[in-house]
Amino acid sequence: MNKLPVVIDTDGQLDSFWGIMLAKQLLDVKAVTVCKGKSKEAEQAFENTGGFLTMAGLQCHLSKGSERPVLISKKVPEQRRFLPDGKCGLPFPKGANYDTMPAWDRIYQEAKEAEGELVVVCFGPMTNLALAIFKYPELSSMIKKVAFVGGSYDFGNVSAVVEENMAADPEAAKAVFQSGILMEMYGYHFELKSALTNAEVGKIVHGANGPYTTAFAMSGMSHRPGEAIYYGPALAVFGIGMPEHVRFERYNIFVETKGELSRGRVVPLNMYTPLGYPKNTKVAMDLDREAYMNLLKETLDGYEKLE
Amino acid sequence: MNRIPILMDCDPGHDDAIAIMLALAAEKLEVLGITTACGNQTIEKTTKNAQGICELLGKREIPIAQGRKAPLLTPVYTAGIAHGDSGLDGPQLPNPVVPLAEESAVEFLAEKLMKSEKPVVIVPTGPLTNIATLLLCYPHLKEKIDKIVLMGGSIVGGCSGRGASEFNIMVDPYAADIVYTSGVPIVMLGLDVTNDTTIQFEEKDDFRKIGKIGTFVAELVDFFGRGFEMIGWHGVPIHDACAVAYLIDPSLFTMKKMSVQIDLEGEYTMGSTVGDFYNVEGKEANVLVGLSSDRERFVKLLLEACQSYEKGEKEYE
Repeated sequence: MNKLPVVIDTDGQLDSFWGIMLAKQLLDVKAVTVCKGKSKEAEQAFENTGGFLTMAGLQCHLSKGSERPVLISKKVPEQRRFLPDGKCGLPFPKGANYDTMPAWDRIYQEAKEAEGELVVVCFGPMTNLALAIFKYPELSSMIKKVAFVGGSYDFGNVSAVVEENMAADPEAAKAVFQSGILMEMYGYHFELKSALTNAEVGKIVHGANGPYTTAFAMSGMSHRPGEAIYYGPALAVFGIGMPEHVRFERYNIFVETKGELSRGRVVPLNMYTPLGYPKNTKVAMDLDREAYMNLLKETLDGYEKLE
Repeated sequence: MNRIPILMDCDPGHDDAIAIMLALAAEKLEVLGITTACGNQTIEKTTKNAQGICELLGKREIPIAQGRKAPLLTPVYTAGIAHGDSGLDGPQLPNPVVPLAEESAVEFLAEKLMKSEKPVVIVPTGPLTNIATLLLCYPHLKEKIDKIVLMGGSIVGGCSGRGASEFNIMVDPYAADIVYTSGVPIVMLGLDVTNDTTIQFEEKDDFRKIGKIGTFVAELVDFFGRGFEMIGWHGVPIHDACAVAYLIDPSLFTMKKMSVQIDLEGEYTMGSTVGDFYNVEGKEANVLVGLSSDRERFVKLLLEACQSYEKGEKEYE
């Protein structure tokens, strides 16, 4: 089967590592682009992502992107991070080399080459893609879809209704949503729905204790201490690569950028949506747990054998 | 029997009409009066409708007072598209015989609260304009309010106003903010629960069979149902009656207490009720929010209420 050509955009947080490992199995990764996003410093995001690629054995173009959100005049709420360095202090190998081509040019270049088939996968805030759309307005008609980790069908994790990737750069999200590209959302509600319990993680790990297993175990972020673990980027790759195992619903979604309570909220207009309003977003709602767990287990086993 | 004194503040409105029908049939409730708000239609129309409904139900003894002509800070915004030009298109209503109370809705509410020996439950099923004004102008009367059981808002369950908002809150979001921050206990039956609390189209005949009042309900559902049929729903949500049903039998609903704030700034979310389901922000929970309902028992409650009018007695509870 032909793998989908994708560009992965990330902010170098540890959960992206597992997204990258799964993507290597399931997708044709043309390039990885990096933005500061939720990282403390842009340089940290760049360094971490380089290490993730090396450890995952993924060879592709690697581009640096934006070191700031679209607006710097607005306050960004406190982010949850994989402390202390975005990768829980894990020793990743020296990173792959970065191209000189910046993220927005790389995305455009790959979109051109893929002739309408390119999927852009955002593990973090959508800053780089927004900048690409700002620079190349025609890009929106050249991309097959944008799959992103973030937003939420219902409730948030940095505030009552706002999710962290959207909170980190609401204007970027708004620009991408407004561009008319088909969106595919792997939101916080879906992460919670697909959360793995400690017992399930134990099943996947199955007594292994190599570096990949350690990274896997640590890259799950708990909603609250003692609660189940989830892996946002991995979920998105699972949904893109194996869509038959995910149930989607279509909604018309807006991104709210104003107001203290709702800045960064994605608003699904799911009721009384005027007829003819474009349902611009496929929202992942539920998944085949067993297929997801099998994929994680097979991927982990495969990597640990390499050691 | 120890009846719960209630004051209804409404904007009839098809589902308001069913809420009034249900409340005036309930042995458990003592309706001290009805005040009107502008919402589903202009204040003149919603007031005339409230009078017509009470006349049709044979409840001339229920006093009715007219509310403010417009929301506190925003322009009049009505829902003729859902409720018709009269606000209650469909059934034929008799002309009102009993004159309105001389006081304004706010003065009327204040007077009823002052005179009541027991704390009163306020049941708003329209925009919260009158209730907010009451709370601002008569702060000392808060202690006479047992709680506010309202139909309005939505935590997840969609929108019926502009953007992400529900109609009642959207029409007067500033009033909603005043009410939600008042400290008075609030029970919120929003779209999360009311959208699922429907009369199914095939159930309309069960109402018609009962007689005059059942037919009235069926005709309300006929008209109000057009829009829902068009978007593929199998039934008509009886939003406002949920607030009354909650008072009659709270076990019909599952509820969760959480912090709810009114968004007054968003471009798309202005007027939305922001509920902190997971308590991410750690704020004090101020609202008991309806999450789901037992639809079949709700419809049974409505059917029994209609039947009670035919008997001409209040056996129904």
